[in-house]
Amino acid sequence: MFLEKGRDLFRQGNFFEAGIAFEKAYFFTTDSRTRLEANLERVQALKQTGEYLKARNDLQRTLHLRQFPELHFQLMYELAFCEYMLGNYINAAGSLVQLRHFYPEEYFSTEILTLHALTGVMAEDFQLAQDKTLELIMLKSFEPEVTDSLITITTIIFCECSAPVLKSEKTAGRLSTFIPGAGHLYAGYPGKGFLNAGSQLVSLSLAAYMGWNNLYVSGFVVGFGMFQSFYFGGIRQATFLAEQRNLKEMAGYKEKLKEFIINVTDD
Amino acid sequence: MNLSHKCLILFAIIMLNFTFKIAGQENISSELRFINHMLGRQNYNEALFLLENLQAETTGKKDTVNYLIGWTLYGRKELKPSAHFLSLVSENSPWFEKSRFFAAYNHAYLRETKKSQELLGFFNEDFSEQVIIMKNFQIAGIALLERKLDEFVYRAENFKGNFSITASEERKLNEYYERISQQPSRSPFVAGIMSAAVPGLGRIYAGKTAEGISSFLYVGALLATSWDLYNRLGRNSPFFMISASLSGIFYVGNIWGSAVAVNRVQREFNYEMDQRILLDMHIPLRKLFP
Repeated sequence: MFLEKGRDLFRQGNFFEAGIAFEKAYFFTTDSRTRLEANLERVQALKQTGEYLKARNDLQRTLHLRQFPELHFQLMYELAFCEYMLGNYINAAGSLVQLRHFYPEEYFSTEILTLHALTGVMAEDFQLAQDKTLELIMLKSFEPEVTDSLITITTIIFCECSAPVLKSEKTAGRLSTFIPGAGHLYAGYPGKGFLNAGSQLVSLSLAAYMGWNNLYVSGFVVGFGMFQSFYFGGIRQATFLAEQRNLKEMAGYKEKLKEFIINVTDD
Repeated sequence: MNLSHKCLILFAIIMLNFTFKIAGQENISSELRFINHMLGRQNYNEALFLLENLQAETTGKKDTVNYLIGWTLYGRKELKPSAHFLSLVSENSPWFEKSRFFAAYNHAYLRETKKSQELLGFFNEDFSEQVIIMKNFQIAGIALLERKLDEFVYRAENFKGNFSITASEERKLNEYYERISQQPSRSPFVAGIMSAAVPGLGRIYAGKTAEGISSFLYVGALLATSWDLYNRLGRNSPFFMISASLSGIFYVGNIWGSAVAVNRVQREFNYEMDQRILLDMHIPLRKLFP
């Protein structure tokens, strides 16, 4: 009764109340199969309202019900999906490996391979992402020429040589320690590097100029005070910029890979 | 229609009405069981939605509904409305003691200590010993929150340490009492005077040693610069004027900052103590009413 009510509410787009109805179906039944069904449908309602954490937690309570393989298979897929949406890519990959172990035949489906490939991309395991994308291409049974060209593209874009060359934050910091502005330059921000080096030069010149005019104390306080601020600030900024650069580059690369995987899935 | 037929129909109507009533009560009971399950899974929004729908239908289960609403709101950290619903639970309810204690705690958390004490005052000698011990413990905690140290000492005389649920928290409240009573009272005025004499000394007096040293260094450096400029360039030099103005601003600012630091340190100490006291008031409640 609650299951039917939940389905009606779900069809009407009332996902919040549908979720409650499915939970009631889960709570008031003693039949394991109905429980599993109700739980899966509740998860669909929770997904519609963006509550992936709740959905993940609810899925875990019926994970032991393995006597209904078709439902258990779906449950494991949903679990991996929720983990992916929550940003727990390692957990998502773990769930997908388990899914492959328990259901080796069902595993080879477009949805699961897509999810596994995307998980690989987000977890920065590009070898895994490449393998899964190739499996996906083979599964889709395109025309032989299309398959060949997709395989070539996959091999190229997932190759280590296509991945962005990440800047070492430590190197950026060290460079700025010895050559002011060099760390910025290395991180790919020459303008900021010149500005920082120039500021350090000006503050040192000021100290020297004041010292030259016998203003030793003032020169020390003003000139060196400013210099140390620009110098240490420059080291910190170079490290930060290298980190930002890496994040930006990596996000762009991942986006490109994800787009490719989704295009393969949609074709 | 003869009399026996009429009686039969009347009997059937009464039975039907009775059956509907029982079915209705059973429905409400199972709904309440379900709401309890939702609360157990921390699905507060869904539980509250169900409770709001249920409110109009229930008359016999008002206490349970009020308790559940109060508890749900407590879970959602909405302490004021939670206290309101929990304090509506009547004495006949099995949830009464729990509701009353948590309502009082919510008021204490919101620093509405008078209301909190009023609610706790209801527990007289007719209640069980553990309730009386808990009442005394909570009132002692409230006294400490209000910094009524004499009242705390009076209440703490009843801390026997033989009731496992409150024993360790009783010791902790006593420790907080020691710390509060030993906390020196510092004067913002004295801090200001000290910083006027030696920049940064007022902050050290306030208990902020690192801030004091840092203040001493930057105000000292500015004053030294002004002295240097004065000696080399003379009093009419614009550089000296700029430097002296800056030094003056920072010097006066540091005096003001030292006076403020005394109040800031006191506020930080009070905040820390209050959080600790509230936590230690809360733990025994959760132990007694899981």
